[in-house]
Amino acid sequence: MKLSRLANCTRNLTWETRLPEDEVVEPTLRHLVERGASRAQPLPRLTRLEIGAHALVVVGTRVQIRLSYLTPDDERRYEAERLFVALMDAVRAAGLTGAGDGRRSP
Amino acid sequence: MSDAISQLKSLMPGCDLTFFGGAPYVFHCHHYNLFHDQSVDDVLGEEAGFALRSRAAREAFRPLLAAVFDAAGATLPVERIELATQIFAALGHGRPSLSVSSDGTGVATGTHLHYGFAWREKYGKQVKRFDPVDAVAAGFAAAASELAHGLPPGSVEGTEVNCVAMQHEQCRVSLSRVAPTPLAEPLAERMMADYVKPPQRGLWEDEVAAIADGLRGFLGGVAGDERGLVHAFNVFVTAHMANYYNETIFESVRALEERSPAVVGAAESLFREAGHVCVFNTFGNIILSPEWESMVEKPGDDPERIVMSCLAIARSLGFGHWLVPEMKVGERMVMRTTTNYEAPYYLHRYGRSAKPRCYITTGAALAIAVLAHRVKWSESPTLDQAYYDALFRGDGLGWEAEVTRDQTMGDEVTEIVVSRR
Repeated sequence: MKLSRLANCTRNLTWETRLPEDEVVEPTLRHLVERGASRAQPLPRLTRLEIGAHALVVVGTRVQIRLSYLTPDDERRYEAERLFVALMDAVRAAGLTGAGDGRRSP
Repeated sequence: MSDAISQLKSLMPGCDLTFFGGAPYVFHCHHYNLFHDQSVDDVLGEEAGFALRSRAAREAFRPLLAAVFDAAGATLPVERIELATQIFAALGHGRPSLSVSSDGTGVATGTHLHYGFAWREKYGKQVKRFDPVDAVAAGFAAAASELAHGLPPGSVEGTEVNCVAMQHEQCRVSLSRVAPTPLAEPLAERMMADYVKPPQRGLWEDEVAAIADGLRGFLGGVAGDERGLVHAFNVFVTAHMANYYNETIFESVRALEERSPAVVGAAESLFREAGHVCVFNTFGNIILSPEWESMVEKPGDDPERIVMSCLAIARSLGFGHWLVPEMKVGERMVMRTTTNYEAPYYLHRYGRSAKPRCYITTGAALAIAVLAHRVKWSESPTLDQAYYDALFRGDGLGWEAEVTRDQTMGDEVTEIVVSRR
């Protein structure tokens, strides 16, 4: 899995990664919910997990990490990486391999 | 928002125009909003630009607030002020704190007003700003104060004295009494029949209509958070009064036509470019979003699919009934509107124009053709300023737009032919 920053417009607030395979998605989401995330499905095929002030938006294997815009500039990368690590842990905890060691784009 | 107030929202069938309390409203993102306001200031200067923007906001919000107060049965000033604040926040403009005396004077403060906060978020690291940006909040606060205390229209003026875009801790608007000024009669839903035309079917019509309906339904559930901001599609979104956008653009251009006719073309170019900014940022980020992938598809590189997507997005945002009756990929695209949000305002306020005036629609048509043909959507492009500059500035454009018909001139439709250079 690799973490990429979307450099679109709001600085460092939106990041993306992909889960290794379709079968990983549901058990990973369930694990995150067990760990305290709240889950909603605002659209068909789209899941939104609220984790603290942040959110993970999942469609297929695509996961978008949306940080709260209140996150101070110099903490945004750290917060994104923290959520990314939590996501990888959830993949592993679901008994699946493929998360690897995790890499992030420059 | 209570049911009684929610029911004040309406859609004009076949026209893809949206109304709140009878006032036309549209969705725009912070990139567009900041560019729009900056363009007004570039044309008029900061002081006159702020004055126009504040006045236009006051005039645009008055009918909405009056309708909301009426629907809610709010008669006490304190009720009205509270309700006005809730509406402003629900629309994504931030949640100001208003403290107003019975004579209409007072202050409005806020740490997360849309314009100031978004400006700081976008430019704060690179640019030092010396002028406040929250003319919309200033105008809104003035309108709320007038209506809360039954004061004549145009009798309260908002002046922003502190602004987070200027690195102040919070924005602060001072409200003072001024001699009432007559307001132009605002364009309202009940007047639209005089200006809208029957819808036409374009290419991919059924799919465009279906996607627009779906996206409109999704947007209907989007509202400001506890700070009154909407952070969606990787941008800050506002539901905003169309009369605000129209008054500020048309009054700026017309002021220049009286004062400095030689440079009117430059101002018109700026407002057409605002259409590029809108399509690139708002449309582009919607197409790249997980929500779009869920509702429609993962974007690919077929230009026709991107054009189809953009038409659906425009309709869902309340921009009007946009269609493409003719397209030859790589060469030519004809975009037409039987209704757009610009022309009714112009015709209502000024009568027929001697030249095309649908600036945003024209700029958007060109931008849609550029996004459809030059962006590799399958590669998940980064829609940042550098990419915008590469696509739309210098020699990068590669396409040109010609307005062949324009509803502000009395034509049945507005039509823009976009061709490869």
